[in-house]
Amino acid sequence: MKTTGKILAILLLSMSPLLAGESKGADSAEEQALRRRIAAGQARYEALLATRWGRQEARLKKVADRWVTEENVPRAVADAALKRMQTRFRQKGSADQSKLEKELLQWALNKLVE
Amino acid sequence: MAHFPRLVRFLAVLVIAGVARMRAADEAPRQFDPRTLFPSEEVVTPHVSWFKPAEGGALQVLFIITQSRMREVVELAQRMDMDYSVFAVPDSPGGFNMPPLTKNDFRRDLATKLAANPQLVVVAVQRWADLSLFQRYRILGTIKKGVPLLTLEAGSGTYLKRAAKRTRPVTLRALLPVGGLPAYSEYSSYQDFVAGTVEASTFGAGTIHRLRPFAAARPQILTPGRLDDSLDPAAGEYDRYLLHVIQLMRHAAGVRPSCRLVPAESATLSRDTPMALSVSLETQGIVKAAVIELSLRTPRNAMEHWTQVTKSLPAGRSDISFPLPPMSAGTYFADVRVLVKGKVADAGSRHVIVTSSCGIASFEAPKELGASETVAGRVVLRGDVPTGARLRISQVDTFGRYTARTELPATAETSFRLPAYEPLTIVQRLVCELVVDGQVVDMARAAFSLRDLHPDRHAFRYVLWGLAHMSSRSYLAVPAYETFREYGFDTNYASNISDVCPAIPLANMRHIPYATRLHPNDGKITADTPPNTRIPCLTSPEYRSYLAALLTKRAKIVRPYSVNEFSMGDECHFRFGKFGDICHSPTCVAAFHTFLEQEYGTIVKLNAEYGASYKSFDDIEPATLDEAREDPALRCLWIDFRRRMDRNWVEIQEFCRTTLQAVVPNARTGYEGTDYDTHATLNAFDLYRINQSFDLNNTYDGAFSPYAVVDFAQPDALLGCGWVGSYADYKKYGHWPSQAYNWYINWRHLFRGANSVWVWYAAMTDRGIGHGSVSAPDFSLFQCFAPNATEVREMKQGLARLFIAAEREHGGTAVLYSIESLHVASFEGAHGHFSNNLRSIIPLLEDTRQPFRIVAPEQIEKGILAKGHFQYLILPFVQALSGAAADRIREFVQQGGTLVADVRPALCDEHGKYREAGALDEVFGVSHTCAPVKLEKRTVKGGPFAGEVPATPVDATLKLAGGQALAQAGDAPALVAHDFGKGTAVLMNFLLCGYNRKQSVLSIEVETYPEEAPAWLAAFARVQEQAGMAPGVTFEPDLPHLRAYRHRLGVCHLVGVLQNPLRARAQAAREQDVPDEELEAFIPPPRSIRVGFGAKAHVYDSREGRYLGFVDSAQTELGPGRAKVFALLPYRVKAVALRCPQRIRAGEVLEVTAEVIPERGKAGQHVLHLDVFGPNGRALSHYAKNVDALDGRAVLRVPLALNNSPGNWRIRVRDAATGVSAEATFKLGSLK
Repeated sequence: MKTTGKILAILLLSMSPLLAGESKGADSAEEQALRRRIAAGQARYEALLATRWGRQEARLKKVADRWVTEENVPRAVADAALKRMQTRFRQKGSADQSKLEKELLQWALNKLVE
Repeated sequence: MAHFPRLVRFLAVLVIAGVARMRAADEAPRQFDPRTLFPSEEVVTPHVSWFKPAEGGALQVLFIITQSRMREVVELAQRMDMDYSVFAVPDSPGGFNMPPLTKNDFRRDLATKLAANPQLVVVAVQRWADLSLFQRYRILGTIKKGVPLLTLEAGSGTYLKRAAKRTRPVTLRALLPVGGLPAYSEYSSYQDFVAGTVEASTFGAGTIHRLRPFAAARPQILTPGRLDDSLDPAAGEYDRYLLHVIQLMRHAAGVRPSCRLVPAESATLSRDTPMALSVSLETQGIVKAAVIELSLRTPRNAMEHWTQVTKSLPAGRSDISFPLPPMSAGTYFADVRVLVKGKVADAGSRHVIVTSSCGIASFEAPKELGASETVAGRVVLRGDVPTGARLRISQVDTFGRYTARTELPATAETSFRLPAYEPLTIVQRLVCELVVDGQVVDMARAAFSLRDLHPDRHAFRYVLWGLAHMSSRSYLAVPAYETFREYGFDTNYASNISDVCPAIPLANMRHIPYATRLHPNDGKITADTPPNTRIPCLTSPEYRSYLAALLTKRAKIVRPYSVNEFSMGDECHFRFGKFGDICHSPTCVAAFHTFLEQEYGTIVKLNAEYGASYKSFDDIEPATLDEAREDPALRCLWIDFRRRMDRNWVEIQEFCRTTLQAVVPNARTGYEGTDYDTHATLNAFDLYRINQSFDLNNTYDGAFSPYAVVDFAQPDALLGCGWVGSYADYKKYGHWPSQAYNWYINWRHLFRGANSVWVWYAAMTDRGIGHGSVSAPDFSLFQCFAPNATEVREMKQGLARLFIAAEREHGGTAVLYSIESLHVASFEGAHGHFSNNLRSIIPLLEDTRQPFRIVAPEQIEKGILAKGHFQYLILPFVQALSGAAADRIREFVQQGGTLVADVRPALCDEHGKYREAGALDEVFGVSHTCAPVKLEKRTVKGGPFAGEVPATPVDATLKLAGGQALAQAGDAPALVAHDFGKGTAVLMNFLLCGYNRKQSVLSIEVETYPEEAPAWLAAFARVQEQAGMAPGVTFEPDLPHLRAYRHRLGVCHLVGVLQNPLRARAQAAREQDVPDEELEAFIPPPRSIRVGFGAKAHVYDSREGRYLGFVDSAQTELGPGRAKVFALLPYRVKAVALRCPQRIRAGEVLEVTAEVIPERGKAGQHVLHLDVFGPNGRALSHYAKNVDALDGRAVLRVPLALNNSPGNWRIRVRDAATGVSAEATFKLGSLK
């Protein structure tokens, strides 16, 4: 999954001049077709990402909920951590459960030794 | 995006594979030894039982501790009542590898252990950061809820520091000999000591005690290491450091004893007045009938005085005064235990200094001596020494034996000399006592080492690569090495050449230093490195100078400890990694020129050989293999250069040897882990010459090279035939093959000719599955490896020495190993054939029970075939042979010998140049194509071969020239027989290289066989029949790969019988139709077999010590992987006769004459094993020995000690070959 996300991100980045309409010369039919394909690809990617995040989110939410109920981490803290995970997911194409756990753990540890 | 569906498919496969793997892991058996995670108390070290049994019962403690330090938990458990659990923290960031346990299992385990509500949690890790965040969170969470924590301040880390910020005064009050403990002696009072060593804080409902930083020495972690370098360490200090930890643990856990010892400063007592020691106690209420024990011990824990009083103690403080007998001046630990109702309420120790008005001002003794040198020194006294005072000087060894003593009138300055004795230990101690009116007034100690008490060169050695992670400064170093000595190890092999704490000789073990490593460093190749140059270049004067300085320095460090064996390292290589056709450095090229001049004499002769026109030797430049293959004129030059590089590798070994022997005369030198079955032309491993250059070598296991090393070794070389120990294939818990391998492997090595077994390795850590340690962090041997030590202990009872004294029989068969032929084969691209051929020919000989000896061309040139009484000579792919060697072989056949060769023998000379006709063609009655020929893979049929020989490389161009073709490979003759002179020559025009190709040297089965192996074996047996070779030992039934190893000691023939356990299991499983899926759990039963010896003899089962009769065969039961040893004698041994004095005084040498009495005739050479038992019936292992009994007779000397217990002693002498033994008793009288 991670690899797919990276590949897509790299592909999109490499095509960025085209997406930004910065090509020099007039739009050829090929360029227009390419742009359409890329746009379609991006849409598919966004849809895929959303689907995947849906699945990931459910899993991560479970982890966060556990920390809220079992370790008394405030809901707001857990939600903020989840939000950060979503941002990371969008940037990197993956969201590591252990990272969320680590974040909540660090919060809980800091709270513990306060 | 077009690839997306494919990617999805790929990802799906990954997910499915992942799930499958997880399931497999869940079902996998746990193959790591549980002692990797939880220490056992199997190994008991000397200790003071401070709190055993403890009032209030066992303290419930959870230790969260670095794995390599777990031994300290056992040390604490030996000294206090403790109900403890352990959570091991890995030393390495890689963590444990313990399938099926997962990270979650470890999480659950910690959570469960914390939830069990221990009275105390001890976290003993170097850094809290070694614990995961989750672990730290769980631990601190538990502490905050009210469970006390004891941990270390060093490496606390952010979270612990914050948790421990609310400090409070430390309220610990205990009796501890602060002034007598080197790490704490800076503290002037107990209060300062407590404040300086412990910090206390509160954390929520819990408390945290942190030990302030000190210099620990692994595997210790809660206690300081030794601060001194003495050869006479004060082991008692460790007991008191641990006492402090125990006191602190009990304090932190909130233990409230009924009675408490009050801290006290060091007590200084003068022996010139009546001495008494006061001890103060505090009780909260009345304590009836408290027993207060006082033990006065020296810093070395020798008990000097013990007493106890029973008192009823009122509430509050009580002072008890113990009158003491006159003690000699010096320091003591006054250990006190208060027992209430038979349980220890409190324990402590007080530092006591005893002074005297006169005493020993200085005691000068040697630091290092030769074993035969007289011990002499000087004593200077202080004060008014009364008339009639005497000085008593005693020598004590590291077994605690008093070996020499002298007594002199005490004068202000006295010189002394001790009588000569026979030392048993490398480290010796001197005790000087000033005696006035029969009482020891003062005492001084000194220690020295013997530099030349070298090991017996004929003794079997059990060498341990250890002890990794053991600091020489640890108080546990000596007990740890002593533990391994008790397992049977006698020698430690290690790279840490320590000049500060020779724990190895202190534990009565030998040390083989890993003095350097002869290995190229391709990491140092830069753009400026000249092409094809080794780094370091072995002929470079700068490198030689560096190496000489390094070796000299290291030899000087270890010389005082009788070290006279050195390894140049593990897995040494002439060439490795990115290096190719090396070494073309100017100094190596110059050496090449000198070599050529020696080989050819004149440039004209060289030009004739090379077909070149060099003007001088200096004009010749080496070529790489690629260059030489392009220009046929460079062929001989390239081969000669490789030959020179072979010598280059030999010369560096000789250089190291000379350097080391300049410091330690007659030192044995060599390397290990280097000669294995990878025959590669660029590696410069000329097995013959290299083994002439040194006399210490342990190979990896293999088919060919272990035999080559043994056969080419110098007399008295220390030889191992392969590393064994903690390799993944047989390091498994609850795994029959792992244990069976360890029953098997040492006998395989011994039978093949090894005189030592080398074990890799013992460490304080082990990751679980995979290469690791043979022992657990608690010093016990892992279950899988323990049988290895058991077998060695038995082997050391004389049988191993019997094989060492004997010679491996070659049965008249020699196998030629030719390094020049490897170079030719490599040049012609047939290197694989050469290696596989050698890997196959030896197992073929073993599996047809044909004894053999590997010989080199140089030995043949010198006439070994005639001198060694060989009848058969086998040439495996020997394409290159010198004219002189070929001539000797012709003579050998002419005079009646049988020559067996495979493809293209002796077509080239030693420089690789093709002759006009093969040097042995006439002998074989054939005509070869004397030019490179590509061998064709063909099947061999006809003649003696009942079925087809599997397809194999054949020289299709071979023609008959007088020989008789017995089989064909297509149109080429495949088996040619020819009578020549009085002898016969048999040419197999095919290679046997398909029989065994495996070179996985760290597996239970080093050799594995393809399906067609039986066909190869049958074909080879037919060739042997053709040549007239017949095995001397037969088996009925003839189990596959059941091998016989024949040795001979005078008139005694030894037959070792052994089958690899996995071969035995495969065979039994086939016979019992065991399904494949059940094979892993299948344990094969023992087999009944009849062993035929070829001729009648008095046969003994040596391991069982059983006479089997005057027979030519014997029925026996053979366990899988279990070795049998049969001794075949021309006489039956009636008895072993002993003559020993009936009375002897302590300190004298007991001389026992032992004689093997045959029923008739004269006895030949035997090996006798001696055991000596003291009056308590226990064997004294330091007196056990094996001796060679020439003509059956030997005189065994036992240098008894002055302090050996008087009474009735017993000796037992056992003949190793037959098991016949005899006992005698003698009365040991006291000293005059």
